[in-house]
Amino acid sequence: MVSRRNFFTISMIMLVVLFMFQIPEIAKDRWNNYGKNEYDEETGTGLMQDSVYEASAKDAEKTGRFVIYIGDTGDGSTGSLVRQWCLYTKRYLEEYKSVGGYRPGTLLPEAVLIDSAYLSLKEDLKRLKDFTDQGINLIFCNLPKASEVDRCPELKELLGIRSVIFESTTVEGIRVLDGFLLGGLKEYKLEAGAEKELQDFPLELPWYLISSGTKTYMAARVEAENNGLKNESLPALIWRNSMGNAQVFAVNGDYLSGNSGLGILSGMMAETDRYDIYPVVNAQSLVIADYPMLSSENEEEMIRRYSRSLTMVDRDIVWPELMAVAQRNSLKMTCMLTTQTDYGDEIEPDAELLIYYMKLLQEQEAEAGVSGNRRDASAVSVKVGADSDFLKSVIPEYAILSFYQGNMSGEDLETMLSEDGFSSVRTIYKDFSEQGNLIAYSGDNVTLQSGVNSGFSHTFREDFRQNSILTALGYSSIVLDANRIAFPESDEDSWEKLSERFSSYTNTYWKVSRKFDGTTLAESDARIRRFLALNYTQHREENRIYLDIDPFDKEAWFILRTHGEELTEAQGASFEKLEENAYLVYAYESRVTLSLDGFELYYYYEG
Amino acid sequence: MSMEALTIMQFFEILAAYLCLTFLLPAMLFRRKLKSEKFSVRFMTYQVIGNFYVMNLVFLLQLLRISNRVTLVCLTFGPFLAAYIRLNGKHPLLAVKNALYILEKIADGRLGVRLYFRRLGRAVLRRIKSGFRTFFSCIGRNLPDLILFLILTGVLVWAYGINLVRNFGYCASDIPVHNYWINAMEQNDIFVAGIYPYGFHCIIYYMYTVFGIPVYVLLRIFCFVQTLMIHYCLLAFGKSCCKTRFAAYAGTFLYAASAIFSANTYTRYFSSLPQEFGMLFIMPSAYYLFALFEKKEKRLREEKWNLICFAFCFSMTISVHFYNAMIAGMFCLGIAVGYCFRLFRKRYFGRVMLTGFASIFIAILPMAVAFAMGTPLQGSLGWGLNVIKGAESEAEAPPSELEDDLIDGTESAGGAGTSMQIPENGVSPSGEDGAASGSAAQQKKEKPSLTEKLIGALKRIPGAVWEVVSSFLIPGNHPFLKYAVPGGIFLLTALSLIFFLLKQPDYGAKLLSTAAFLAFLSVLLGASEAGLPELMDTNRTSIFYAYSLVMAWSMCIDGVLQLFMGWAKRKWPMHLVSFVAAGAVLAFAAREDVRKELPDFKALQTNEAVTCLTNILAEEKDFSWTICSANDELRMGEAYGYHYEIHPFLRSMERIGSGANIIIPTLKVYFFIEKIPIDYGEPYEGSGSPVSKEGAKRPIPVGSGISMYQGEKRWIEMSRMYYWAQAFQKLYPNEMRVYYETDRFLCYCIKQDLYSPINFAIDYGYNMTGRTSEGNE
Repeated sequence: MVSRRNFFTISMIMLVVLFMFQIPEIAKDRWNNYGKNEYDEETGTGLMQDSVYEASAKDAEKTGRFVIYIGDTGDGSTGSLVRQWCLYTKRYLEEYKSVGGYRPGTLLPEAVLIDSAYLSLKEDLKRLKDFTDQGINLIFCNLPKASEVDRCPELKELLGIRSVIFESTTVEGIRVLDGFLLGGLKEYKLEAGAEKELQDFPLELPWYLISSGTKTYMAARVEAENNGLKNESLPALIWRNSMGNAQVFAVNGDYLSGNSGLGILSGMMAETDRYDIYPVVNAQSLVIADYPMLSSENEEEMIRRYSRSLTMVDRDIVWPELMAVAQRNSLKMTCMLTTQTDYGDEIEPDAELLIYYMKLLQEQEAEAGVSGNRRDASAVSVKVGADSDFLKSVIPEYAILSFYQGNMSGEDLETMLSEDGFSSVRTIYKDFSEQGNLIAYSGDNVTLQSGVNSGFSHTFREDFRQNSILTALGYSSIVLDANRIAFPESDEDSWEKLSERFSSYTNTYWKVSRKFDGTTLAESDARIRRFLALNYTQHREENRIYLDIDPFDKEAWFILRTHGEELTEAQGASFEKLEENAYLVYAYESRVTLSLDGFELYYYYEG
Repeated sequence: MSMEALTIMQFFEILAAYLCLTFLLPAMLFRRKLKSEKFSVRFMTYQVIGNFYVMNLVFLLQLLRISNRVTLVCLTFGPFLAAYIRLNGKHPLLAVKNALYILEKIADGRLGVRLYFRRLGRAVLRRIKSGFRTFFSCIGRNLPDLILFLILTGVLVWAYGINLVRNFGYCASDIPVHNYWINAMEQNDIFVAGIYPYGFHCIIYYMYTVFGIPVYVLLRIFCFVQTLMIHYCLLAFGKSCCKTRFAAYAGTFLYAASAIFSANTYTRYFSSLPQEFGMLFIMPSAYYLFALFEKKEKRLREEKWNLICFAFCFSMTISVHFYNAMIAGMFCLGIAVGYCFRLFRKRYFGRVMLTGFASIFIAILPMAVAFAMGTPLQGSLGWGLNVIKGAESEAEAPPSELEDDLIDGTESAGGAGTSMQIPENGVSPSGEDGAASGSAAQQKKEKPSLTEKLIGALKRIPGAVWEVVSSFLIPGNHPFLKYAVPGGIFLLTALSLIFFLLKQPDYGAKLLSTAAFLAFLSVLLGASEAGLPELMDTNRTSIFYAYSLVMAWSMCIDGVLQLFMGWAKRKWPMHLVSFVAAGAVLAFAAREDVRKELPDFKALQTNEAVTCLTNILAEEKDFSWTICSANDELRMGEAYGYHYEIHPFLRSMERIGSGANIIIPTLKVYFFIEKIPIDYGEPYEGSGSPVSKEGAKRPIPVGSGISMYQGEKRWIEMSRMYYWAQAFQKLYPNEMRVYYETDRFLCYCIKQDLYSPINFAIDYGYNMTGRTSEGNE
């Protein structure tokens, strides 16, 4: 028998437990302001396309950031990379079609970047050597053919090539040495049993043996290593030679022919001085394209594979995994809603499901955008009308700030953005492309962001790209194409396989990136606007670096790269060590002072 | 922390470790057995036992190739505990049983916890109080001794200790070789360069292995610890032999504080060298013989302690350095003279001889085992044997360990740290050789017989000894001190005869033994001058001579006081006079024209180099770095990192420049460059010149070994390294940074990626690559 007293006590405990679990849930539900996009106000900057800072010759005199490019910036390859890099690093760029076209004036450039297609080996080498004597660094964005290099001893001397071992050889992999790009030492060589698809670097290349006075940043791995070939004799891919009063950088390959090369240029410039400080975006996002799907399309296939509808698959199977990976890697999700992909069928989006997801997104501090993908051939106006009406009816106050371009053409995109329902869009998100801008303005008040990696693949080149762009911009973005889940084309598209790839790639290769901030696209947009608008000057006095940011809007991020010096103190800013000799500086004032620790004996000194 | 502070802390660490081994542990074992002995005797005995045990333990484990921290610690503390339990009547099982019983009582509630702890606290407090009482009463009883002892220590700190914080490096060129030998012991590779008396090395190795003090720190600092102990042992011997309480201080003060003897007699104390370490055991070995002969013949059967200690002592003089054995042997001869009336009695003679052989056997055994296992003799040992065989006349000087040892070409010729020149007055062996260059027939005709030669030499000895004493041993303007040398011997002899007549034969024999010992030592000192075979070079003999002479002088004071005041019933006036005499000697030694100057004995290495090395060892992971420097750092850092010599470094890129391939495969490479090269034991006319283009333009010296870093060659090498570094820094401005720089020294640090190691060979403008440059235009 239970006494009345015990009965009362047990009942009270049960009640308390009930309230403990229910009250937070009720509170969360009641106070969840899912109908409003919190990032709308938080991330408003007022900065527009006209605020983008582009360095002029006058500015260059003040800042000293000035480079010459021998080539064509409109070539969509190396030239556009250089142009973009100059925009991001606030450098003034002068372009010449030949070396002879440039005559050094009073203001000497930091570097002359050379596309070897515009190089005349007979005439230009003497001039280039004169440049080095004047202290102008040279960057050979690519090299002439190996046979031409071999025949030209002056060029070999300039580049620090001792000999050309083979004009073409097949290498096994590539090694990026520590301290050049963020991410440290990287070995891009297939281990036994690894998927062959991982190796997507070009492996046919000339074998240059470089001489003393050089430093290698990237080298190839060859089979001869097993037979005792030493590291110093490996084929050099990116290296530096000291010549005259300057450094000559050489790139053996096409690494500077697209956006993946941004970090290489930043890495090279960091090597030319005792330290380098440059602005970065500091944003990394996780974009789930076409997720959640609000209409139960492709039901037959979904039932066959998962025994449930597409909306249920998204909700019960995909969402927990996405959330776990995002939390583990400190990423914020931006989910690009797809109301439907086929506007011709009768399957309509589920309003309750949208509310359910909006609440989840709100709880997870994620953001909802809209995807531009559609599978049918209906006119864009149909999609715009349907999506707009549906969203207005369910979440009328929610401002859609980001939009995933997907397979939508540029014209359709313009049409869509001009509609009332999407006039709030601030940023367009697109998949990665080696050509074109990585981050830029797409309109007066709309920015463009590119994905950097796909969540479902991580080849060697993609890994290299991630580290390179992170080095140059402190920017990264993973795009996960949920269309592959909804409309699988093979067994490889089943979620158990895709999720395994997604979680393993993200958890493994995201280590360096964790030091940067996880952002939604709206937050990234605000940071990109500030990044593109800012300009800065810096100078060093003894162990202090003084940084003046003008224009400055609330916040800015910089990467400081040193050579053995430690950043110990910052005024007007805070900082975090990314890795050895690299720091992320968060400036919250326009004037920042950074104190470096000099090289003093660590323990004992002579009294 | 400054290097000075670090050095002082390290000194105390080493002193504590050494005293733990050679004082604390033996004292804990033998305190009861020796409680009737004077403290001075106990001190010597603890020293002897501690050193003997450690030395022979290391020998044993090294020969068995199982020497490491675990075995050393186990075989030190295991036997110690066993002996402690046995000698002090402790019963560990009973103690455990008692503890368990108490626990049981506490658990049962028969004994309250609070009550137990209160009792325990009281017992501890009682012990502490009793300890303090004993300590202070002991101080009270020995206050004058304590004062004089502290003064002596202060004097030693002044005379020798300060140099530790003024010059951090090794002060003798032999030390890197000893360092190398000790380093090899870590791999159980004893006698790595051949059989050599390894006693000193065993002690250093033990302290390194058990206490974790780096060998280079021990070799830098242990010299002062051993100097303290040498002086304390001298004092202890004096106090054990003298009848007055304070006469022994007189000689010790004079020896420690004054500079009446030539600098050569004490400069080796600035270095941790085996010979000096071995001096610790000379006086105690004499003391134990004295003590033996003082025992009545009837009680000899019970007398084993002194014989054992003598055997230990004498064996250690052999184990540490043969020269010490020679001096100890001479003292034994002196004692044989002094105690001749007892020695040849059957009971004494048999025991003494047997002990002597046993001690030699103990010392020789490890070396004999190694020899039997195929290890050859080390070079300097071969030289010693030649001397004994009489073939020494060709040998100009004992080869320092450096000369023959090297082994890997890093060090070669060089003196034994000090290189005082003996004035070439009188006839020298080489002079004789020169005179004998006439025709063979004439030589044959004029060649005297052996007896005639011997008689002639003996006739020359007094003059030769006087010459060496007056011009070399006591070079200053103190004629009375010079006369005090023969005077002391005569006085001791006279006093001994008087005491024999006064029926104090033991005391008289002691004095006579000391006098005879000094007489023998005098012959050794003047042997070279007199044209006799030179068993030991005058430089080294003078070190032992000065050390023994001061004690003889103390005994003279003691003898005189004993003669005139010893008959009195009350002894305190005699002690008081001896105290005054010690004070007077100290006052004399402290006179400006007599006292030693504040030491600044330059090391063969810059302070900055040692500072950098210390930092590198503290900062870097083992074997992740290489030091490219002239020499000493090779052995100092051998157990922790790599070394590259600058001579082969420069030589490799000579005339080839960047065509050469110099890869140093460690993460960090440090370059030690002297902007003002030191004089490595060989001054030259441009000594003190800074590195310059003129120096760099000079051809790179030809040869190998340490000679490449001596005299002007060092200046050339350093000049070239300096300009190499300038050129290299231009090529690698971010990779090469100045690690440490002063007006006379520069250390660069280069961090490289081992996946892409830097080729250090470049055209630096002076390496004769045929290019037009400032350097070779």
